[in-house]
Amino acid sequence: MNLDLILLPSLVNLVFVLILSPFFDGFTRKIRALIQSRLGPSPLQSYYDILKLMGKEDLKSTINPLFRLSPYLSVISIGMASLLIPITGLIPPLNFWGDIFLFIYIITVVGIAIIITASASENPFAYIGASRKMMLHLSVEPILAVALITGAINAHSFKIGDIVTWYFLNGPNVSMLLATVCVFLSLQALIGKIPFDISEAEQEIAEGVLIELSGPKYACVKWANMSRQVLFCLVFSQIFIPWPFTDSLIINTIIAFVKVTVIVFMSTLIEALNPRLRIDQALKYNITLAVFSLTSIFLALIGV
Amino acid sequence: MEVYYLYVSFILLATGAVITAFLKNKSISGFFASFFTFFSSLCLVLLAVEVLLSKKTIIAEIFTLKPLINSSLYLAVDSLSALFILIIALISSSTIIFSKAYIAVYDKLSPRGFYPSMLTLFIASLGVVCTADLLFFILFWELMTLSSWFLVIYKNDNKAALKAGIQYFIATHVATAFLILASVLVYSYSKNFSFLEIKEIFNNLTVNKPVFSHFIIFCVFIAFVTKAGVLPFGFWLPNTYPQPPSSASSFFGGVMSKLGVYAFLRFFLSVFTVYENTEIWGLITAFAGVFSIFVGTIAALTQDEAKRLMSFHAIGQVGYMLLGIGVGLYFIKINPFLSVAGFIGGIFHILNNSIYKSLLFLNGGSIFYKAATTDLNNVSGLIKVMPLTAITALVGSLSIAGVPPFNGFVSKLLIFESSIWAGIERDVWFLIKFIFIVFGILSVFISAITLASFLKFINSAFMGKLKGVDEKKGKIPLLMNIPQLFLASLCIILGIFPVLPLEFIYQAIVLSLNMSLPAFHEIFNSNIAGFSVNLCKDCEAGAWFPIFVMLPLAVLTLLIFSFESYAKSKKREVETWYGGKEHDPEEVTYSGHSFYQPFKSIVSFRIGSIYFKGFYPEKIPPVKFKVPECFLKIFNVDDWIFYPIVSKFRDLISFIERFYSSLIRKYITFFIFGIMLILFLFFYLYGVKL
Repeated sequence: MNLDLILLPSLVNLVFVLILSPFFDGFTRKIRALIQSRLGPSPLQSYYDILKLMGKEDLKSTINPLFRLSPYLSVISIGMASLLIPITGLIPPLNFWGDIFLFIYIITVVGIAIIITASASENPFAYIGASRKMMLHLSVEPILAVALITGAINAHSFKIGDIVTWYFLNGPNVSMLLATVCVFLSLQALIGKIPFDISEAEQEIAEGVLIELSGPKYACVKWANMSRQVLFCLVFSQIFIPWPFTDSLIINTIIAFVKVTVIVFMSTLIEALNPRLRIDQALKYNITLAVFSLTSIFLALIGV
Repeated sequence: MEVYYLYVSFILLATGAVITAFLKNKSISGFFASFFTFFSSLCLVLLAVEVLLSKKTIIAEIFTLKPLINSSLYLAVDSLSALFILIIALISSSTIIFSKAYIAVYDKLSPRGFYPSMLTLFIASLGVVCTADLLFFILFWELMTLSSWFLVIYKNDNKAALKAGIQYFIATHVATAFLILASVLVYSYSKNFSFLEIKEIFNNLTVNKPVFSHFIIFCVFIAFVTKAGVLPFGFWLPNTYPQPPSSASSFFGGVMSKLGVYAFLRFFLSVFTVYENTEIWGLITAFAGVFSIFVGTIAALTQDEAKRLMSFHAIGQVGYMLLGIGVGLYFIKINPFLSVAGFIGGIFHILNNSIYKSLLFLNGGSIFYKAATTDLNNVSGLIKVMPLTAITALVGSLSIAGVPPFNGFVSKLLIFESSIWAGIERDVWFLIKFIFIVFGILSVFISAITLASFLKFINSAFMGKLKGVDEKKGKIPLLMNIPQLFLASLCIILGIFPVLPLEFIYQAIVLSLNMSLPAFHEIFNSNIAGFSVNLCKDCEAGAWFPIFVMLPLAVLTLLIFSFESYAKSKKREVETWYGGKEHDPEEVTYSGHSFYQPFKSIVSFRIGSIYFKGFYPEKIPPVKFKVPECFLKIFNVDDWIFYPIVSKFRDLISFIERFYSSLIRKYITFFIFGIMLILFLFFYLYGVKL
């Protein structure tokens, strides 16, 4: 294990997911504005928002210590999850130390952080949001897990680096393509955007989980949500469509940037053109998709 | 030499049980119980550490019943027993120290019903773990059941407790009956109750009488699985575990139900031999495990009562252990790497589960101490009055959900990976591969449900506005907080340094299986920071290095918090915002029952008259049979044999009776004539001349 091979890619991953995420968010806002025939803010607007919120007054609705800590945990765990994604090369920085289950659970921690923030805030709207967030999470997590396990069965390893390397070398195959389709269909739910932004629905429950947050905490949770969008777009583009990869770190990063931009654009189109689902509709959609995605495992066992 | 530690701890516990049986004062009784248990636990920890480090088996024969029956009280402490002795030592002293302050809640009940049973339960569970003789194993097993039964009915004025007690008594005794049946059948061949002899006989039995040996395994399986609470045999568990005082439930959930799994392991690893058909039992075990993971945990999601919720999780968590062990049993001939990984996952899960499950039950006890109820709809916001309990409950909940870096993650990781790896094995039938993979995916999914139901517990009990607290009760006593903190820190330590326990568990498996298995360093490439696991020869499948993974986490945490403190935003306390309207907090509370309502309605349904709430029948209506009339007649022996014969006989008697009642004088005349006739004949025959 060469430290240079870990430190630099880690830095690139963190910058890509955490620092670039407000830019991608600004990009989606611009596109949405164009679709709705508005001029829209500049792509850098989300950076200004976060910086402004960092300096705003921090309102505390409770003395609960968890309310103070958990918003920051969400950003931290998104950063951790980004270290398991191959951006600079076929092998992600944390590849030797954790596998797909670590990835799945770190994503779970993001949810836990936001749910505990919400319930610690003592607001009933936030409780409703937390309950919905958890239900969405536990219905969408199996789809991602099944897709990753399909890769693991094909590649004979649970490490993300090995899965990506195998898929890169052995070309597209049927079971992985099916898994890719399933992940794409659940992408909006993973990101938490319309039609699946049920836990943060502004009109029904006044932004649900975010209702009592303000100042730096609000900035952090918003930032975590933006980073989550980039993270899952990266999961889709780097793990399930791992072409092309070169030997150069810089070119790989640029390719990843282009791919993510395309996927963010598609996701924004879906977001702008669809209404929000009810929670029971979303649950049924996700559970059906999860059961359907077992087919990809079946195909992987046949060996196609 | 080391066996004296065991004797000392037995004697200490027995003395404690006798002394507390005579004490009425709660605090004195509690002091004695804690004192004796603590020192016996010290002895046990010394013993267990000695055995684990020296890799030897301590054998001692205490006394023998040889002239009477071929059985003697063998104590055999090998690495597997030592692991469980360690668990018993840790959990017993934690629960008993917790009880000292906690038992004051039951102000109407005497401690004489509690401490002696508790200490007897400790003795019995130690006995179960240490004996290597089937007869004494059953005796200790029965002692364990009885002493725990006394704890279940401790609240003897409570109807639910008595009902649960009856259910528990019947279910566990049916299970014991199976165990006794198995032991009698085995004895008829081995003529000896010692585990070693049985093992030798079993080698022959599996070859000569395969069906018979399967039947014995079946009986043993039923007996232990019932005690461990695997569905559908564990139907008694969710009704029973909430009933005793929380510290006793904590020992039940943390140790007693795990002893079912211990006994299962002991029998399958070192009493029954491993042969071709072991894999069938591996599959059955894995299936039973996944069934109770699925039903138990989803049913837990629908519960609103904290201790009942945890009891359902006790069922679900046992399922994970059985899944790991089942994978181990299935692949032991096919791929020893995978098999050992499965076993290690299963056994490590037992260890972890006993820690966090007892921690969570103790948290439930703290809630009961302060609020006199554990109903999640009636309490909330308790973090403000018991911050330590809340934090430890959070640690316990995250551990049981398997969130890294807590201990549950390590064992669940091994279980998931070993059951999914089955799909990659070449020599396995296609359907079996698919089944094991689906088992793995189901357990990943259910892990998220576990998280959901414990977040519901945390959110509704500890978060929100303060509600349902008894103001008269002061702070939670220190003696109740210490065990919780201790167990919570164990959860974190075992999660961050998993390699040492893994090595000990590997050693336990190897020593009790007595087969040639791949060496530890062939399966796990480990150092102090973590391990990566090889599920076949030289193929690194998965990895978990908690310390390296924690490093970037720490750096990120530092960065984010320094950024926050740099921003220096002003802080101000405000009221909760209800969307611009004025409400009392009571009007708009979101109680535990409201959580996950849409999901609950998806998993609840009705079949006939039975309502399934989260796949678990909520109330089973009394079963009514209707048997055809003619069928009943056959069994009604009275009608077609007894009464006809009796009535005929009566007729005869009454006919004879008529002579008696109406003609007494005639009767006397007959009598005299008769005597004369007899005398006449007598004289005539002997030729007496008149």
